[in-house]
Amino acid sequence: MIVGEQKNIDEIAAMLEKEDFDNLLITGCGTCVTVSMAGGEREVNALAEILQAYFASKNKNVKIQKATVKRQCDFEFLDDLENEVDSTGLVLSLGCGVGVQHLAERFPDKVVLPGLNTSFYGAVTNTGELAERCIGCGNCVLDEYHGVCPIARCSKSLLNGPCGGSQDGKCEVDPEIDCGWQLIYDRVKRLNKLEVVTGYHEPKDWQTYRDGGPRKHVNKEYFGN
Amino acid sequence: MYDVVFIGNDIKSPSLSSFQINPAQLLTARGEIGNFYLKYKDDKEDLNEVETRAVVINIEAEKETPATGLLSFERNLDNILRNTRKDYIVIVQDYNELAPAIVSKEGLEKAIDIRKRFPDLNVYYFYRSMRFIDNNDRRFEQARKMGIVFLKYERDNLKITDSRELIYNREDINLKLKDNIIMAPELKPAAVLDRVARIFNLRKSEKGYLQPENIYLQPTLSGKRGVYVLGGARGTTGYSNLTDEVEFTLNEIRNKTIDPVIEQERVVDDQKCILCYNCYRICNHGAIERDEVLDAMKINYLACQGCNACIARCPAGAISIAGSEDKKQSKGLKVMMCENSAQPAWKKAGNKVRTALNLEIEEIPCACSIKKEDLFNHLSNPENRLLILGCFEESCKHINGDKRGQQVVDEVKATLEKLDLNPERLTFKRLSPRMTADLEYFLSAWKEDSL
Repeated sequence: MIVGEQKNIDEIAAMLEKEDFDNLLITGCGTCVTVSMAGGEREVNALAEILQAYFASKNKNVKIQKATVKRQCDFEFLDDLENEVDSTGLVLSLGCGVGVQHLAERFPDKVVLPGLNTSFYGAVTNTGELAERCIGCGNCVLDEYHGVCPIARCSKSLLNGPCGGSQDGKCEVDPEIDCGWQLIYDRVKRLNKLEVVTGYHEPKDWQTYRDGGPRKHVNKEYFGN
Repeated sequence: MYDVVFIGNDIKSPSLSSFQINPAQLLTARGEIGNFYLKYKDDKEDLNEVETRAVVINIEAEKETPATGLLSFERNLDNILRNTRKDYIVIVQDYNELAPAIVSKEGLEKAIDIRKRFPDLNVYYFYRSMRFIDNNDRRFEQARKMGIVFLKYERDNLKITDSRELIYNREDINLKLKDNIIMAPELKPAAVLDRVARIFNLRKSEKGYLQPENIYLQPTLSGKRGVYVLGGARGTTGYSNLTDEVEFTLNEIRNKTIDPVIEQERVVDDQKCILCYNCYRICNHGAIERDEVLDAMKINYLACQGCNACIARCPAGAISIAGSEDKKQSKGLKVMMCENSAQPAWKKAGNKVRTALNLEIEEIPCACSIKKEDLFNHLSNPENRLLILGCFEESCKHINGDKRGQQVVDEVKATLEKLDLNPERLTFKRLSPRMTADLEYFLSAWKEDSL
């Protein structure tokens, strides 16, 4: 799931300062960023309230509208927003980076601002806690490492690890971070597949990642009309 | 349908039909008080399901001998005692941590038994603290009369070396005793408790037992209705009044005090629910589960204890109280009072005081029910002030609602601070229902300060 974190409120306020508007639409996204407690209906409501208080303190009269759609990354859901967007001067999206761009694409005449930082692809690891598990490299190696990704979980993305900075299962970058290679070792030891850590892993072809430019998928089974 | 299913050791009761499941074989638990469905694997690894009105988790604590190479209570000592060339036997209690009453009891009984059967042996009993509940005072007296030597120690007075020698120095007593040392066990939560907690979605205590520290959870309640914890599942104190606690628990089940106290029903809008499981993780009463037909979360009506934490925390805004309306905006000074602490204290304050203070009061079911948006809404007027009154730590009926309320207040204050909107206008304070005088004083001070 895409994990987002709301931008600092002062950053959002500064961003809005630069724009000229008397009508603001805050759009939430009801999928990934709702799960990561950053951009769902609850956050939209709270943000609307605090911004209303902020504008009042600046003697600025702004009408705030709120709308949360199921997914900002599908045009069909954005169609539902047409009326609200038409009547607003500015859109503040609490969707991930994909949602913000999708809104901008769908409503080319409106300024669309991001209210979130899109953090990573992650999983819920505790109540209110999410952690990175995947970087979307485009060529999955989890078969080779038996379910623990060295690219996402090792701070250095080492394909052959660990490095000398692994101490008591923790990473030298930050003692809060588990050493990815310790996790790989623990797992393959349990599975009796220690050759994963004793063997050598060939360098990875990074063309499937950002190095090949913006990526695109075409599913031939569905593509076209 | 059984009246009760025991997870772990069972307790026979003539008037209750019961069934026993080995905790390691329990797979899932669904449903609520009056209607639990438990899936488990039997000894042949076949999958089974039982239905029960209530569940009792009764799992022994694990015993650990605090030093290696020494004797333990569990071991059969007869051979050693019969053939020993020493004229003494030593029992050491509280070596790493102070032992609970159950360990003192076992230690005293062990000492008395040895003394009776091997009268030629001197019995030295080292302890730091003797717990005199559960008739331990009588055992202690009996043991002393029988000539057992009790030696109290502090951490610095007693050492046991790797070569199994006990060295004791206290005032003018200097003892060196080698071998024949019996160590009292230390109790630890059974490893399987983690699994059971996960299956029943129960909160654990800091030490890892299945009853969090909270005054509302006496004596054997788990926080989830219909699920009781006994003995070593509850904690080391769970052994002290075990007979009474068993009786209480079985009576509770027998009487089936299954009265729904919730007049308002919390409902999940299955079209809005995104199954993020936040409500499930937040609910301290294990009252939420997934409705497999609707593929949305659902609130178990009887298990729900009405704290509203799920409503306040649902990121999709999918949970509400059936038939409730939006709150209207309030003005000026407002106080939100938890119905379990500040509200009862306020009621006792008397009409005169209440009228004199003339404050807008909102009764809330728990500090955890406050919503960020409502707080911002009230504070959007720079003249407005808001005071939230919750319970003291470990005194919250909803286990940790005070902390959850505090989290929201901290977050809201930080946000106000960043926008220069005077965070001092928001205050959170803890109270007990008995603190009427303190509340009166505090409210008038707060009001004066605010004006």
